Amino acid sequence: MLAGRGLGKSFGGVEALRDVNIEVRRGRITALIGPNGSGKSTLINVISGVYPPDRGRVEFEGRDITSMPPHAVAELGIIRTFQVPRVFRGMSVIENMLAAAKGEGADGVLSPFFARSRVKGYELSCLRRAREILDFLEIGHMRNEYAGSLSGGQQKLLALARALMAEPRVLLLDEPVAGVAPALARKIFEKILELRNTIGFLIVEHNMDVLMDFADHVYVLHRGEVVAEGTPKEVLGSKQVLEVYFGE
Amino acid sequence: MADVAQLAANILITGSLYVLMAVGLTMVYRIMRFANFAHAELITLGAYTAYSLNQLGFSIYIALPFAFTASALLAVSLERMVFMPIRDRGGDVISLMIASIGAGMVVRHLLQQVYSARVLTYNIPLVSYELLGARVSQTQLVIVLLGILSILLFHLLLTGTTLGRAMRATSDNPGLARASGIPVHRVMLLTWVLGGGIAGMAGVLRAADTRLVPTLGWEVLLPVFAVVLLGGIGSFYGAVAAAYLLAAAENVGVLVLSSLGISTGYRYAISFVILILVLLFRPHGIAGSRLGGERE
Amino acid sequence: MSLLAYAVDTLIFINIYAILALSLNLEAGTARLMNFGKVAFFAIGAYASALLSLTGLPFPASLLGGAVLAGVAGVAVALPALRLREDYLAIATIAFGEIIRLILLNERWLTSGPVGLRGIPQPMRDAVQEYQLFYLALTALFLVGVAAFLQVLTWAPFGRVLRAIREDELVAQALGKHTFSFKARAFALASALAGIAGALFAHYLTFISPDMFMPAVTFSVWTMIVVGGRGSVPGAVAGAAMVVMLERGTRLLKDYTALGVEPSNLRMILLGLMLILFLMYRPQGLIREKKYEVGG
Repeated sequence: MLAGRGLGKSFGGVEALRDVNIEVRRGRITALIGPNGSGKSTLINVISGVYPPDRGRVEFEGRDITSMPPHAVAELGIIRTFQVPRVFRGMSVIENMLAAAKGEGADGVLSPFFARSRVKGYELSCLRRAREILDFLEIGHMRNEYAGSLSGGQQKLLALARALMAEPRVLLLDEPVAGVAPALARKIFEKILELRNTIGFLIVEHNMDVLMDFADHVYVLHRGEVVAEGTPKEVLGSKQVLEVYFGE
Repeated sequence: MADVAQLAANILITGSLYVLMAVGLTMVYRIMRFANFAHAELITLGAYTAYSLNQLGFSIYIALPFAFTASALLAVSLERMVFMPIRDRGGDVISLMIASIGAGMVVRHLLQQVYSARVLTYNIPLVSYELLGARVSQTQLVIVLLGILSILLFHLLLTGTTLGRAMRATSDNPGLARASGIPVHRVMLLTWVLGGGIAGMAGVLRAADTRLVPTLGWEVLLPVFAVVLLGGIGSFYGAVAAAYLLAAAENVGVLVLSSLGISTGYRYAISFVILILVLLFRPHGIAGSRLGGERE
Repeated sequence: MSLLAYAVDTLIFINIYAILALSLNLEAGTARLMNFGKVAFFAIGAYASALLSLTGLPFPASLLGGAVLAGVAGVAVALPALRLREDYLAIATIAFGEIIRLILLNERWLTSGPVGLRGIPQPMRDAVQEYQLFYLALTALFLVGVAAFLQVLTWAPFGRVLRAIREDELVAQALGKHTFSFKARAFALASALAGIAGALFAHYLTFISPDMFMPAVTFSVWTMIVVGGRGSVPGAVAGAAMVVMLERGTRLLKDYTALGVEPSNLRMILLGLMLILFLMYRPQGLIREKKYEVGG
């Protein structure tokens, strides 16, 4: 459903991505691994519209979405998180969630005045959904705290919760459970497993155990190139991957 | 021919003043990473310092080092008493920018309280020279000479001294500079001293060339920002080029305005419009370095 | 002026400045739009409404005209400028404000230049006996209306997106918010509200001139929202009340004591100090922005 074809991107002469082909499908969990600086974040930035690629195309459900601005990409349902959890620090946790909900015509200047009952209904349904997601991720009790006062792991969870709140069709998750307690991390991946038939997932993740248990397809990025891909079993034992991580 | 010579002379004079006024602002903007609106008052304080000494019978040229010292002291005090505490408490660039407005208000009106809002003039001999058909006053000659001298000195400082290299390293990447053992804190302090001091001297020359009022610095602040942004934040050579370019645009622009029958009251608008156009279309300056424009 | 008349006059100014502060608060407090040219939109509203009513248009139509024209000016500034980084936006808007003031000074055929507009008609002047009290009620009505409108809007989905943009614009975009559209609408709305404040100002004084619209007005309004609490609707009103009363206080001090300080200087010095001290010790202001909370 979401594909990058022949993506290339350079920054000041340094090639951050070179001829990257990648595909995210509904029904399977796609993982992206690679050492620091291998281009994972750049790839997510290119797909989500933060930078236009120098070469190649991004397609979503047969449609060319290359170089669309980030908000337009997100409006299509392609929602990404950031490696460093960028929560709205000066807003409460629950407000972070509500801010992520689709506007549905309730976010106009005049809507609270001329469409009051609609806005009210919208707020109630958003609140309900927000609290469900927060409770599931076990941060419901923090809902009235400033997001900036949460611990690093909790901020990571909030970023994930916020992404779910935006009604994603594809989630691009940059290390979604870094700093999260292992039990909860597994629980989150179990939920992801449950959701994979309705939402496409591209997940940057380093934990090999998690990958083995949950990923269906793995891409290995190294110096901006895909050096291996396949099932976790095929890829994680392969020579290229060992070289990438332990070689040199 | 005489007209052209006069025009060239005027461009040289205005441009040299801009160089002197912009060099401190651009360095502070780059190294401290915020737009310091109180730079206007560093200019003004120098001018009033010279006025006091001038009243005591000293020549304004003798007053120049004192103006340098006064403005440098003010710059360092602002950093220590206002900007550093706000940074230490987690204030962002917006807070620093607003605080610099507040600091400028305080200094400007303290000066106005002490010296009144009256238009003051220095006691200077009204000597002028005829050079290649252009009439140039003694003050204007000093402006140009001092402008060129400071360009040369600054060039030597940046390229030939350890301090200059440390300054450049710090402005390119403060984190890296700190990691590689550069005393970033001292470099920052010296930036304030040099930038503030030169602005103070520029204030004296500007007041000598025109008149002295408490809004002296504030009136030129926007053109000086135009120079800084046109040259690329933190770029000394860019600022030099931009200073003379803006001076040319203003001096030619006034002629264009009057030939078009437009009120010359709009001459100040020339630099404002250039400033806005630069921001919209070349926010990284003519040199095009992206570094000055990045937020992190 | 009797004591009562003085008190009523003070309250009228508080109402007018509170509307202006509320409008800046929407831009700079709720969102993070550094409008350093607020005074321009205040001036456009004042001049437009005054000129319209001088042509014989009734007050409501003139006021609406002032608001619309200020709003249109807001859109005109927003479309190119809102893409700018925050410090560039601040510099660009301050330049815009100065350009507007130059236009007011130089387009004599329209604005009468430096002498300004006189004899601006007042609404219901002949129908009301206690005119000042009537105008107090009128401005109070507008203030209550604007404050209620903004309080609802700030805590509605629209305001929530503005806060999200303030906290992290890229993330707001990554969640599907067309942030530019939100910013532009906020800026246009705030400009129109500043236009209303300007119109109320012009019809109260019956006389306006360009020197009433100096950049200092913008920074007084900034002081109001920094002191009151950025993002807080009641904060902006409280801040406006404090700053206006401070101004009146410094004038009274001059009349009733032998303090040898010019009231205008004392006022600006105090405003500057307030800005700095609040940014240092209480950046959230007197009334902290409400935190959105839900029950068990």
